[in-house]
Order: sequence, then structure tokens, then C-alpha cells
Amino acid sequence: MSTISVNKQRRTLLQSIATLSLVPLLPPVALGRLEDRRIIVVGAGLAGLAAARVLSAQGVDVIVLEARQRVGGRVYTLDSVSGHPEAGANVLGSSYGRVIDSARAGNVALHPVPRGGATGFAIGGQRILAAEWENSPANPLSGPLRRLSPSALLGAALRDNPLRASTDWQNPVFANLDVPADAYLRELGFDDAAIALIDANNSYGNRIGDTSMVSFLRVGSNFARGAAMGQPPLEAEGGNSRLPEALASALGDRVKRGVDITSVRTVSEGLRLEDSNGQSYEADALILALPIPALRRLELPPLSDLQREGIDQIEYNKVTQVHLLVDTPYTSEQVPGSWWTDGPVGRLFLREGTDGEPGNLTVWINGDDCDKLRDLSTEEAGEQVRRQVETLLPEAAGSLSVSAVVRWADDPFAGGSWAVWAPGQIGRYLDALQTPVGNIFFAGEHLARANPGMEGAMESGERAALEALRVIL
Amino acid sequence: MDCRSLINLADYLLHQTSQYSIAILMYLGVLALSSCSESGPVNESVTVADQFQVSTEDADNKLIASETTVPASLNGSQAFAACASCHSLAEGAEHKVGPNLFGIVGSAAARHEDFPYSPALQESSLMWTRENLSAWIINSEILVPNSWMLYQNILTVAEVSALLDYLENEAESMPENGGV
Repeated sequence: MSTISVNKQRRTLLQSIATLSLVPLLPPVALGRLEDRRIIVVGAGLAGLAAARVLSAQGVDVIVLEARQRVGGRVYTLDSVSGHPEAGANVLGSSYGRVIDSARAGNVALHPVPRGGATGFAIGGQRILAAEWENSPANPLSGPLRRLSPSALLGAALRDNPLRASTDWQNPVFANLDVPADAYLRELGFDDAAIALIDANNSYGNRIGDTSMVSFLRVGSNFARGAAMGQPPLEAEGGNSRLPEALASALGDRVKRGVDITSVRTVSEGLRLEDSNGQSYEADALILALPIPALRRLELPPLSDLQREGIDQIEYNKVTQVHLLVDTPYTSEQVPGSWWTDGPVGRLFLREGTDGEPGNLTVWINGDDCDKLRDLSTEEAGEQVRRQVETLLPEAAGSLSVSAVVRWADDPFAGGSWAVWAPGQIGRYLDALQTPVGNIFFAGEHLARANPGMEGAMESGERAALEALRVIL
Repeated sequence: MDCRSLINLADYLLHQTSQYSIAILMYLGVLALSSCSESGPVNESVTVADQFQVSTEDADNKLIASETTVPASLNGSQAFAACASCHSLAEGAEHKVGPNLFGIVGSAAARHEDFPYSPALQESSLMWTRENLSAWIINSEILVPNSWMLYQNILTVAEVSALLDYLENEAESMPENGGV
């Protein structure tokens, strides 16, 4: 990153602070009654619904336009699959105030996530029970790292975490941590084998060299804070989709499904949006509550070079899930239900069936491994993964059937699970991506600040709602 | 102070995490408007963005929004929308993820026995004077490191002040859900 661009960013930040500080010095512009001003929110994920909730409570005429036939975006419970597994956001923290308040208001019960059963490891196709990990010849780690399981390895790297406050990860003070994770880990004494294991199931980058260490540290400090709070992680009764559905339900017919906005133009009266059917919508202000890959599909008024570059550059974590029904339980003392592998099937999470229903085995593949399934049809991809799982678990052969295949990277309205910040991208793009363009404001998980995940999405929507409110007052 | 010195000072402050740097940055922002823009009264027809286009003499960095409406300031009730998901305000209303705020101004920090505050806030011995509450809202984790309110401030200094007036004066008339 050049010095010039860094200074530019700082100046942009100074300007936005100045803009905020100026606000009280300016006389309010009389624009008529609040209910006569329309704000459109594009995207009925948690960010958009949170924005609409705030605006609606303030008496603003707000509508939410959602391209899909369902609300929730990357919160997506597979209701047609036995056991209702989550294809998207699966856990909410007990500090998630906005999510929890929405659940309360919408009468959605939350309960602690049930404890998972035993997890085994498979390295190079060879199975290792947790108790045998340290001394197994298949354990590729050396020295003091050998006793750490693959899933505990990253935790060890995050033990001396310099991040404290919830927003430290985006603070320029910690820019020295915004570096390739593999280089940082090597300095900590992690060898290639250890780094390869951390890369094998990485949710914070599609490959370790493009993963910022600060992303790992961010999740580590969130985890540590959550543990200090002593509250269990939660999920919604009947599936996490009940949360966005409750928010949408409170907004009634102000949420329009199946409206795929393709362009936004500035016109003399305000903003004009057009959908894929050529229908247009007018608004005084607009909140684009969309993940970056979905933003790329829109024709927008001119953006700053930096904002356009950010939208073009930022990758989303590739996630492919194959959900398998388990007709006959395969677990025993020697065969754990869930598995962590360094192979093509990534991680396997078993949730046992209740009341005689089949269990659900979720195969969770992250990062560039998803590309191997890219050219296959949904059916072929599901069957290939099922066969690979049966190779790993011959005990389950014959009792597994594919119930759903979800490929987030190929979903045009998502483009992946969440934004993965490559080294240097947070400092370069985060503020630029949040900068309003005229009366167009931006929200979405990628603009989360103090909170991660679902709460971060709602946090961004709330912020965008208040920004939009200021320009229509 | 000229425009360039202000930017340099802001640049320095952005590297600091002192308790005061955020507040100083806010005031610098106000100063920046007087020294980084052309003099003269603020004209309603000139947008904030336009002023920066003039002031920074940096075509690449201009804000695109020539049609931007000048943002107004949120009143206290509107500003409370940034708090309402986590805090109830009516007297005796249930705590949410954050504690009930009835009568917060002038009270001692961590005052509710039935709310699980962070150890850091419990040990802080803070009194919620308006000054401390402002600092808390602007950056709680700088005021009390390792505290648990996970909020990045989105309110201006004036809006924080309006919010405090609202907390002080209007709490009693609030519906139980705080208006949201």
C-alpha cells in the first residue's frame, strides 16, 4: 500500500469525523413530514431488516426489496431437511443484543446450542481418535505442538492476543497484525505442517497466504470475551431463519420478495431504482444492505476509486455444504460422529436425530477446496461428497443419502459466506466501503464493527438506518 | 492551525488509543471545517461534500455526493435507537443484553445487583456523570478497558448530548420497550 493512499484514507476518516461534527452547526433543512419521506432498503438479510426495523420505529415510510423469494440472506435454515440444519449462520453469541432483542420482540425462543458429540481426526485419509492424537504416527505436528489437536492449533496461536477492544481489529494501531497469517504463524514457531492444518479448514480466507492474521485474532478476542461473559452460544428454536422471518413479519407488506434490483440512478427527485422486470421505485434515501458480491451486480452512481476497488477486490469465503441424512447411526466408541479432516470433505458435523428421525451429517468444505466441486452438477457434487464420506466412514456406508447441497460461492445474492479481508484490505477499504454515495448508504456483515456475524450485520444496518434518517429529517 | 497540520495531528492521534484521542479528533473535525474549507458562512445549498471537494484540492479523494442532502442532527429519542436493542429505559423494565438505564445519569456504574456487569466495570468506581457517560458512549472500551458493551459509536457529540438529555429528562415517560 502506498503512503499516499494511506494518507488519503486518514484524510477521508478525518473528513467523515468533521462531517459528523459539523452536523449540529447546520440548520435543519425543512423537507416536510417524516412519513412523507421514503427510504428503500435493498436486501432482507439481517442487516437490511435491522435497518428497516429502526426506521419503521421512527415512523419513516420504509420498504425492503429482496431479490430472493425468502428473507434472511445468509441466515438460512433448511426447513425441508430432517432436523432443520443450518446452511448459513449457525451460532449466535449471548452478547448479540440486537439479535436477541429481535428474537424477544418476535417471540422466537432461543436455546443453548447442544453440545456436539466426540470428534475424530483424519489426516491424509488416516483416522485418529482424539485420545490417540498426540502419539499417532499420522499426527504431522512436531515438538510441543503435537499434543494440540488440529482444531486447538489456531487457539494456541491466539493465546497472546494483542487485540483487546472489540474494534481493535480495524484500528490502524494494530496494522502490524494485518499481515499474511502464514508469515505471522511461522514467526511464532509454527512449521509448514502446522500451518497446513490451520489452512485446511479456514473460515477467514480461501487460502492461508491471503488470510489476514488480524482476522484470526479478531475471532480469538471475540471468543475470549464470550468465554469471560460465561454465557453459552445460542440458536433459535426451529432454526435461525425464524429470526429474520420474525423481523420481516413485523414489517408486514413493507417487505417485498422476488424484487431483484439491478440499477440505482440519481434523479432530480431523489433516487430511482429499477428491478430486473423494468419496474422502478423511487426513494429519498437508499440503504444497500447487500454482501459485496451482490453489490457487484448493481449498476450504481459513480463511486470513489477506492470504494469501487474494494467492491471489485474483496473475496468472500467459499463454503460448500453437503447435508447427509443418516438412516442408521454409525457411531460407536471407536467411531466418533463428527470429524475434522485435512482432505476434500473438510469437517463433518453430526447432529443425532431425535424422536426416531434420521440424524444429519453436515459436510462443511471451506476455501479453495470448494472449487473441486464447481464443475459438477448439484447432484454429482452431492454424490461425490457422499462417496468420499463413505470412504472415510465405511461404518456409515449404505445409510447416508444426500438431502441438500448448498454452494454459497455460486449464489449470486451471497457470493460466499462472509467477507474475508486479505492482508492490508481492512485499512485500505473498510471505511471507503461504508462511505455514503449521496443519499445511498451501505450495510451488511462486511461493515460490522464492534460485533461479528449476525450481530455485526444488524449493527451495520442500525448504523445505516440512522445515517439515512439524518438526511430525511 | 492550518489544514495540513490538522491532518497531520489527526494522523498522529489515529495511532493513539488514549482516552482522549477520540474526543480530540471530534473537535479537530470541527476545526478542520473552518481551516480546511473556504471561509464564509455555511450555505445550505453547498453540501458538506462540496466543501471538501474545494478544501482538500484532491480530485481523487472527493466525495462523489454532489446531491447529498445536508444531514440533520438526531434528537435524543432518535439517537436512543442506537441503544434500544440492548437497553430498556422505563423504570423497572427488564434488563436486556445490557442493563436498564432508568435514572442512569448521576448514578454509580454497575449499580444493578441483578445484572451481570463485566468485572472491569464493577471495579471501575465510576460515577455516571454526563462527562463520563459521554466518554463511555463515544468509546466505552477506552474508558473502561475489558468492559463488555460492544458498541462502536455512530452518534455525533451533539447527538450524544441530546441523548443524555433524553436519558435524564424523558425516561419516566417512556414506554417499556424504549420506543423501538
